Amino acid sequence: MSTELEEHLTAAMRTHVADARLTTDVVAAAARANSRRRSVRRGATALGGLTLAAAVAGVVAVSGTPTTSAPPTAPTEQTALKPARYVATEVSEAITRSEDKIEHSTQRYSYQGKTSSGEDWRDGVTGDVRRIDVLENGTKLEYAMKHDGDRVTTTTVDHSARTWFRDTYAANDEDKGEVQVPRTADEIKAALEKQTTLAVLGKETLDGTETLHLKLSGDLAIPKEHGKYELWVNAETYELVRVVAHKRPNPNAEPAVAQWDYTYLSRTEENLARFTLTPPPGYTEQAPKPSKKKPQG
Amino acid sequence: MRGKPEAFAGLDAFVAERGDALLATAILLAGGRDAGQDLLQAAIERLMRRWNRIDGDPEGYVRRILYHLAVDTWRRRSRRPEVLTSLDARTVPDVTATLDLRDALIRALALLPPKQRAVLVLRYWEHLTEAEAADRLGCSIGTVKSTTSRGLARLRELTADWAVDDRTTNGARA
Repeated sequence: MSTELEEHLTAAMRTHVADARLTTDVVAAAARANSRRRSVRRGATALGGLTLAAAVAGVVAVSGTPTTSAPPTAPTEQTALKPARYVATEVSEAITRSEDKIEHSTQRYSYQGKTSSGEDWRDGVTGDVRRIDVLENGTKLEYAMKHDGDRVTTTTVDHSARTWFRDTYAANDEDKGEVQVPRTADEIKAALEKQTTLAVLGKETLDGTETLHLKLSGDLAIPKEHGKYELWVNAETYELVRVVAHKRPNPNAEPAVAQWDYTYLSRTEENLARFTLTPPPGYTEQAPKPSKKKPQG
Repeated sequence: MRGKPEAFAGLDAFVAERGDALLATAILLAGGRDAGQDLLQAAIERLMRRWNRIDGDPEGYVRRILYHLAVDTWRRRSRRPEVLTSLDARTVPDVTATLDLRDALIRALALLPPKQRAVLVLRYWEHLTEAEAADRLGCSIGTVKSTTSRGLARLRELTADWAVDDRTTNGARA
């Protein structure tokens, strides 16, 4: 049944589009769209003060998705609240563009005077992950997750205990874990597409990079009274530069603060080699632990 | 082309040569001709942003963008209720009486979620392997397999009244 259905489907597609011909100048139309987009970008850059005004005057509810079918219009003086929606669209599109790269981030986490740090790489094409954690007590852990067809293999190395273990399971059993706060590009994109509210707080320069400082609130894992969630994006490319999340166990408690700094790497052989984790010689192999959860950032 | 023609040198020739083939794919991905034209235009616009920075084959880049745009559209629309019209012959008896299986399949294909449609187009229009389709979509092979299975099952369900086993060679109802 399937084979015959598949053959009919192939034939149906072939017949359906056999007469497909470009009847309009799609390049000219795309050029006009590109020109409009560039004008909008220039407008947004020129209106840096206006974006701050937008934040002061109020924030823009990004209802549904920032990437609606209707393109965002240029932020004019008459539509002072448009930049936030425009920025949301551009950030979402920048994340889409980054899906064929390796997302690299460094993390710093502090709570009650104690700090831990981490660094990870995520391959947007394969979903492979490599992570290094240095816990508050100095313990260094390394973790790698590699996809091979419908199988996933994780390798965890504990440098303090000089042990390691490896586990393999079906990709469908992969435990994504609960998203505490949006931190990966995919999670941030999903947050932007929820019923969230985005405020453009203004322009800032971080480590020599001109950025837009944004604040996201609404349908997030962080209740408004328990903290805040801010992100910085490259003012030119809209790629993620930094995310800072403040989260309190209760409204009166000291917040835990997590900061991620992002860069995007090409999928070169050298960079892809990071996803292979080989335990150092002399380390003791242990049986895999029952939990298949990957470390949460 | 208005603007800076030198910045897009070769783009017109590329579209002239490969535009029809890309449009065919876009129509199948979008589920309609007008929507396909819009999808291709959006992909070309993305191509223009990186025209001078693309290493290698621009067609591969455009096809990747086409699929990602198509699937993103699905992600966005998934939050809105959609009214899916069954191809049950009881609801459209006059039309289905004149349809053959392949017409029904194309209509049913347009009713699938874009991600399922994209996978089926990759597998049965572009004839990519599961591994190649996974690479194009940036997902696992397992996802391609399961999405293909669900897509075919849904097509079978939507075209149930046009059972393949009862077809004559031209697909008409026996």
